[in-house]
Parts: sequence; structure tokens; C-alpha cells
Amino acid sequence: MRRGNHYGYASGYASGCALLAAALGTGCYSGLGGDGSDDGAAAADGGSDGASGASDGGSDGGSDGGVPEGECAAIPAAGLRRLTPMQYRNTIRDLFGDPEFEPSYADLAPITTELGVRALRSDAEQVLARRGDWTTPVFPCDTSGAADAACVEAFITDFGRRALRHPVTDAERAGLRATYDAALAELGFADAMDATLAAMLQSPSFVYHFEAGAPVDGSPNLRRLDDHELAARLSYLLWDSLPDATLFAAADAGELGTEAGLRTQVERMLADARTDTKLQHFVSQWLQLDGGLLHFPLEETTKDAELFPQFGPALQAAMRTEIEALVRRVFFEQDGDFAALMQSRDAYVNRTLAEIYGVPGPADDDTWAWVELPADQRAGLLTRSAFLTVYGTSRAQSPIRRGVFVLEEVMCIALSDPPPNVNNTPVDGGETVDEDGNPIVRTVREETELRTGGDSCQNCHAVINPVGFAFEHYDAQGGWQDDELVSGLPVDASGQLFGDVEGAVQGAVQASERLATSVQVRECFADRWSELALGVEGDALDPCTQRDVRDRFVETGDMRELLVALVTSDGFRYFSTEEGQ
Amino acid sequence: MRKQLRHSGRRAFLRGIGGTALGLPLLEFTHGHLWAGGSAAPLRFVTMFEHGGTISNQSHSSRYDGTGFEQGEDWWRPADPTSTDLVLGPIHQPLAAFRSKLLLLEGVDNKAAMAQAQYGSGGHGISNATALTAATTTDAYGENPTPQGPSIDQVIAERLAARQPVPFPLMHLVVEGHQYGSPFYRGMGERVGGEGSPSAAFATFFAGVSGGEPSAAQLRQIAMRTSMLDGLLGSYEQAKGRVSAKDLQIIEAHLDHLRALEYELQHPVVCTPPTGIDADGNQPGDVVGPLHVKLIIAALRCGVTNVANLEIADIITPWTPIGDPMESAFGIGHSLGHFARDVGEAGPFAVQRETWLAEMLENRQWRIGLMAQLLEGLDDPGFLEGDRTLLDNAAVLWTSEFREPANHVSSNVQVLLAGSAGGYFATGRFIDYNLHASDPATLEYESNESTHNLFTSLLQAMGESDAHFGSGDAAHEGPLPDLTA
Repeated sequence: MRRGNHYGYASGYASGCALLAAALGTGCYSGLGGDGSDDGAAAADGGSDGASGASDGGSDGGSDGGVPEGECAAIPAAGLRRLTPMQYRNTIRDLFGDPEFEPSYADLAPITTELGVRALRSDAEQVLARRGDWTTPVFPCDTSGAADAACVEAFITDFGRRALRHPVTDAERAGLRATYDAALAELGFADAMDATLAAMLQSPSFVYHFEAGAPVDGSPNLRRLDDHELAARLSYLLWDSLPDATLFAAADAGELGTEAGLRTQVERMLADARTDTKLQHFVSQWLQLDGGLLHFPLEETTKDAELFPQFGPALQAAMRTEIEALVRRVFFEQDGDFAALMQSRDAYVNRTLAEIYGVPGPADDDTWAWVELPADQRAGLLTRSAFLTVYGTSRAQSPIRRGVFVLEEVMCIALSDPPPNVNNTPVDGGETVDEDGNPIVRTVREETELRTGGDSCQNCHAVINPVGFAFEHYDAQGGWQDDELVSGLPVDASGQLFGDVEGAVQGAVQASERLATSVQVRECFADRWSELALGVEGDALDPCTQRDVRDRFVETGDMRELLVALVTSDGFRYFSTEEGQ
Repeated sequence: MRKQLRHSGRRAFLRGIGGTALGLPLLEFTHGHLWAGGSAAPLRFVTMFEHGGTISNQSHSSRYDGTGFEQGEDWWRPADPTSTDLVLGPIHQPLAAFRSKLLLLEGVDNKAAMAQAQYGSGGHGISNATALTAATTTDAYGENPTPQGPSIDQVIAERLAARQPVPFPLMHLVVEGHQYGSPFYRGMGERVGGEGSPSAAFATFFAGVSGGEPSAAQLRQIAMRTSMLDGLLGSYEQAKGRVSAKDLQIIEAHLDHLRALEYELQHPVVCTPPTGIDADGNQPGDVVGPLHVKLIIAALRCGVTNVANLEIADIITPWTPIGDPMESAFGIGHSLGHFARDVGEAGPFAVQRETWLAEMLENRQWRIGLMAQLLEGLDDPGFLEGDRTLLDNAAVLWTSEFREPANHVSSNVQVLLAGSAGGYFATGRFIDYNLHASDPATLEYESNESTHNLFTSLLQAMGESDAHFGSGDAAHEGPLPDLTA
């Protein structure tokens, strides 16, 4: 899903893009990134301080003693959130040790729907029906026996503590006991225990992330998450699941109140395979490999069978495997180096992918190997088949959509929507007719320029097109092309970048190398993670936290350090009650 | 949400169009508890919403003549637009058997969208947000405009449920595919989506329906679920005290949904459930669509609900034969709609005009074929309530967010009504509210009527006394003129 505006272009196509064009015309690029380039300079200046600041959190509020003050104390509270379908699935799987559990719950609406509430009920019943697949202890007694009041109490206390992610409160206990007592009266002990478990999995404290926080001395409007709330927030950020026993124990022991304690846990968790799942999810969302407003998910994309005979489910799956392997290698084996993510030529390929990349590779599609891609053709994520496939039409590359993606998602330069009557039929190049009706062959680039040549189009396309044109060498499934597949005409991949890396570029390798050095790009990447972690859109991020996390990432370029910065930030640990809590 | 539609072959599609191959064993449905005879027959309301408009030359204040880029046809209009006796046009041919029970309206604008749209007409966000709400929105120019009121189906569902108690106030099913957001809203900012899987919908809506006395297993399930709710209702009540004022709506909505589940448990339906609902939402539209229709018919006949929505995404019908290069270019139904602007005489794809028209017609006829199947099921003379069929006691509304998809035109949106709502509507007619309609050849367009008025009419047809529905963007309050018998 394309995100909204983060840098002040929300007010509409005309005003937003006119501003953009004006900024370009005058060479004033601060408007492109809001405070981007200015802050970038500040960040660079502050870099040396930040290097030593890693031990004190690099935050105005500090982490070990100080609390956020002044403007940094105005940390907005995110609205009440509930488990996402992914979090719900993982939580159930981990609670019951049932890795095959697949819920029907798929409700992503901000306010839950009746369908969602119904799914929570049927999924809870499904959990009961799968008891043969449970591999972790659930009930503390044999429920087929006689009613056992101590057993239900122990169950609520112990299992409830894990499921609800904190010691069970009296009110929560009362709710569960109401279910138990009603079921016991009607049905018997075994059913009563089952009903209590099912009710627990639909209860407010299970379904929602309640965060009451604890008061902060001297700051009446500020609250600090308690250790269990913090543990849950951390666990759902990195693992999309509930805290494990170690994290829970750290919360019990009050060890999350210090940055050192928090850092110990974060670093432990970052090395866990569950972080990989979340990382892949983030990257996939960022690149919109799971679908966007104008494209299907990678696995559901279709291509012209004559032009791309290799294209099909096996290749689509291989593209996904490749991109995940690259992300995994950079994050876990190459120090989380963002520059490597944007520039790496390592590729994990099978035979077909190697053919698409034009390199020697394994003998068949079931064999995989790491290879090095040609230095003049590939550099990082944006030059890989998975990305280039979803940002292509079924027959040709799509410079407009590739350009929009780089601007909006890599550089956080928001563009307004085109007018509703815009001609957005695919631009594939090839045979057409000119104004006089004579046959003519055009490249995608030529046709794009023609289509977007009007004054009103140029407000935005003067920026979009040059960025996208840098990717012209990649066809609709990411293969290299010197001559276009459809038109047969030679490719012109000369383009231009904007923001703090403004200037002409020749091809996507150069563009990617330039983007890898951009402060604005790193800040944008940091913001995307912050949005995910804090549950707010970019323009609602607390500016102090945003600055701290950006600075740390700009300074280190380490995606793991970005996550540590996020978790130890004030915005992650505190919230303000000024909006009516 | 965006699923690539798989297809089960052209044959299945063609069977779907005619509505005859469905072979509904409808007589097996006996009446639920909704109507036991004697009293006034209950009213029903169905919304069929097609995403992405139709084949039309409608512009905002005129019509395209086909000499420019835009194709110049309007195949939603009657074959004879000068006749008040409805003469079905090309898209409506699958409805021929029900012509006398239809009411086709021309000249109903979505004036809420037109007034609030950034460019003075429509747009995916604003048109979807207002198509069924006619509401004022926040963030009208953004990607997610939020209406400040509910959609008409929700209001009618709530009103009818108060008079005609049912386990489910409404049933919302969707043929999934590419679209820009549900137009259905439970209330301010509460957008609701539909169930895409027929088998899941069956499990939901017919779980408590038995053909006779509930089985022991059903009784146990009811007791288990009731026990859960005993605790959950209290827990969520208590949770209201744990949230900020702005988050209260979230918990209250959850509580409302739990209470709806409680009502179902307390009011089990005795009625033979439908059979053969065995496809999930990953099946192709030509499988899912007819099963959804079958579910709606059964649910209305059983008294499981009073109100149903069937939402049809802007899907391409991939099982239809289309020629290269249009095939690859269409990709999604959205692109198919956009070709309307490029296949005119002077358009860049002029040579493909006939192909485009054929493809669009087949696609839109397939959609309207679902309506034919619904009407067939509701108009069963062997299943009367009082002296009327269910269709006669119902109002079925077919509409969309756009009339003409390529330019996102929200004026003159499609409004096709079926059923007379218990004799309220005078059917078998065509009404044109275009102020220039007296000139049959005119390309001019202007209307004082809006969906505000349409929805007011529907409320009144359902026995309500509302004088207005929606925002203040309509030219006048009150119902549409000339609809009633």
C-alpha cells in the first residue's frame, strides 16, 4: 500500500507538484525532503557525538536516568492497536507450540469488524480442535477428571500470564472465571476449561495491545511503559509474536528499565531467526512485493508469455527466494550494512534466475548458489528481478512506476495523486501511429515522454520520469536489455536523481550507488521502520525520536543499530497522555 | 486483498451468464422464523455494487460522441431511451425475464462526490467513500477519504432488524479482485469489507440454522459460545475504562459485534440450509459469484437476514477470449475500464475499439448475470410471502461508484432497481432525470437528482419516514420524483 504524504505535499496534485517543480526550478531542494538536507548536514555534524552517544542513548531524554523534557516530552500516544493477523497467527503458534496453525482472522481494519470478531471466535475453536498438535503444556491438570477449582486458577494464572503478556489482573481473572462458571454449570469441567481457554484468546488483553504505562515523576503528562508492556512491544516489533521466556524473565526482573538491559535483549533477539521473518516482512512491504495500488503481488503478477516464456510460478518463487536471501545475508552476515543492501552484487540464484541475470549458474532450478552479478549491470535491491518485475507492465519496464517508487518510498518525497482522468493504460512502446496516422515505432521512454508531456503532467513527471529512466535497461522481469524487447530500439538509461543526491545518472547502478550514500535515503528508511514500530504515520512521529533514530542510522548505516536505536528511543518507551488518556 | 483471479473455463462462465445452469434447489428452503404468515410480509433490501463503472459515454456535463479519444457508446442505457416502458439495453439483456420488475433510472448523480472531489467529479477515494453514504467526508482529497456517516445498507439493516428481528442484521459478500476500497461503512470511519469465501460465509451465516431440532453438537456449541460471551461481554465492558476517549469507539465497536453474536445464539433459525456451498474465496469469480448469490437467496428465504450486499470487485473476466495486445494490457479490470478513453475514433487504440467493446460487454453482462440469478431465486412463485414473491417484497439496488470508468465520472451513476418493495415502486419503467432528456439526440446532461434522494426513496420504500439522507450536497431534499406506484 502506498503511504501518504510525509513531507508536506498532502494538499493535492496541483499545489504539491507545483511546489516540487518550483523547488526544482530554483534549485531549492530543501522542499523535497522537508527538513531533509538541512538535517542531513546536522546529522553529519553530530556524527562524532553520536558515536560515543551510543552508550547513553543519544537522546535528549537519556535512557538511564533522564526522562524526556521540553518538546521531547510531547510524545504522541499511538492509538489502541490490536494484534495484526500475522501477530495473531504467530502468538497462537508460539503459545501452543503448533507451527502449522493457520487462522482465518485477517482483519486489518482500524476498527475491528464483525467479521473479525467472528473469526477470533472460530479461530479459538480451531485451536481447541487442534489440541492433538499442541506441543507445549496448556492445562495444568487432566481436564477429563472431576471439576478442579485449583486447576482453573492455576491455568488462569500461569497460562494467562503468557497469553496476556503480563501477570493476570483481578479484572481479567473475573472475566475468565465468568466464562468458566457458566460453562461448568451447563456442560462440565472439560468443556469449562476449553471455554475458558477460548475466551482468553478472544479477551481484550489478548487481542489488543493495552499500554497503560506508569507515571513519571515530575512529568504529569508523561507515562513510561512498564516492563511487561515494553517487553511485549519489543517482541511484537522484532518477532511479531509474544515475548519468550527469557524476555519475560527480564521484564519480571525489571531489567528493561535501563538501556543496557534493553540492549542486551534487543541484541539477543536480533540474532534469532524470528527477526528474519519480520525483516523480510518489512522489506517486502517496503518494496510492495505483496501488492500495491496498481500492481498485484509478485506471486500473482502475469507477464506476456511470448516475450517471457520463463515467467511462471517457479520463477516468481525464485525471485522471492533471491531477494530474501540477499536481505538475510546483508542483515545477519554483513553487519546490517544498508549500503550493501543498495549496492550488493551477490545473488542467490538457480538456473533460470542466473539466465535472467546473464551469469553462469547452477545446472537446474532446484540447485541454488551464490554468484556475483556483472558490476556494470547490477547494484543492490533495486536492480533485482523481484522489484523490477512488480514495477513493470506485462510486456515492458515501467519507468513511471519505478520512478514513483524511488521518490516516494526510497527518498520519502511524496507525490500527489494524478488527476482521475489521467491516461494510465500501460506504456509498452513498440508500433503505433504518429499524429498524422503514419506507422511509427517508439521506445517506452519516448512514449512516456509523449504521454506525460503536457504542462500539468510535467508538474510531477519532470521529476518522476528522469528517476525511472535510469532503470530502462531492465525489462519487465528484470532481465538486462540493450535493445527493448517490444520496440527493438536501443535503450537510453540516462536519468537524474533529486534531493541530496541531485544530479545526472547513467543507469540504475550509478543511481543505486548514489542513493546508498544519501542521508535523505537513510532518514527515509529509518522513518519507515519507525512508523512500523510506533504504529503511526510519518507525519505523526515524535520529532525527537525521529531525529534520534535517523541520526543513529545515518551515522552507522547499520540496520541492526537502527532497530536498537528505535527500541531505546523515548518514543518507544514513553508516551504522552495529553490527547485524552 | 488483490487476488489474481483464476478461472474455471469459459463454459462455466457462460453457464453463469444465463443463470439457468445454477439449478437452485430452492424449494428445499422452508420459511425461517421471519414470516409465519398472517402478518404483513417482511421487506428485504439487497445492494449489488459493481466496482469500476460500466460502458458509458457519460462525461461530467455532457456525453462523448465517439469522435475523439473516448469511445461514444453507452450500453447501460435502454435500447430506446425515449420510452418510459423499459426497453433493455445491451448490458441488461440477461435480465430479460424480469423486465417488468425493473426500474432503471438515468440522471441520478453522486453529488456528494461531485461536490467534494478535488477535480469536481470523482476519484477512487471520494467516489467509493460517498457512493453509498452520500456523506460529507474528511480528507476528501487524500487516499482515504472518510465519510462521516454510514452507508444506506447499514441504516436499512438496522431499521429493518428492529421491526423484523433476525440473527444477522445484514450479510455482506464480495467477489474479490482489484478494487479501491469497500464503499460500505458501518458508521463514521468504520469501513466494512465483505466475506469473500462462500464456504466461510456459509459456516458463519448458517452455523445456527438447523432443519429441525438442533443436534446435540449444536446445543453444545451454543452453550460453549454463550459461556464465552458471558465472560467476554464483561471483560470488554471493563476494558472501556482502560482506553482514552479517542479509543473508546474501538472497544465499543467490538462490544457491538459481540452482542450481535449473542443475539444469534439466542435466536436460532429453523430452516433447511443450502447445500453445495463448497468453494473458498480463492476460487474464480465465476464460481464464487453464483455461490454468493445462492447464499443470499437462502439467507433471505430462511430469515437469517433482511439485508444483503454483494460487492463485485473490478475484476477482469480472464476466462473470456481477448486478443493480443489488449490481453496483456488489460491486466486488471481497472485497466480495462480505462481503455474507454483510448479506443475512440481519434484514440491511440482506435483499432481495438470493437475488441474492447466486446470484452467489456461480456464482463459487464457477466456481472449483471449475477443479478439475474438473484432475481430468479427471489421471484420464485413457489415461495410466496402473502401474495407476493420475495422479489416483490424486496428492493434490489444495483449501482457503482462510477458511470464512466476511464474519467471516473460520478455523475449519472448506474441505478437499477428491482422488486417493488411490497408494491411501493412502480416497476417495468425507465425514468430519465436528465433535464435535457426531451431532446432524444442531446449530448447535454444536467440533473437535479442525487443519490441522496435515491437513498431517501429507499428508506421510504422500507417503511421509514426519513425526509433526507446524507450530506447537504443534493439539489433538493426528499425522495426521487415519480418512483412510486
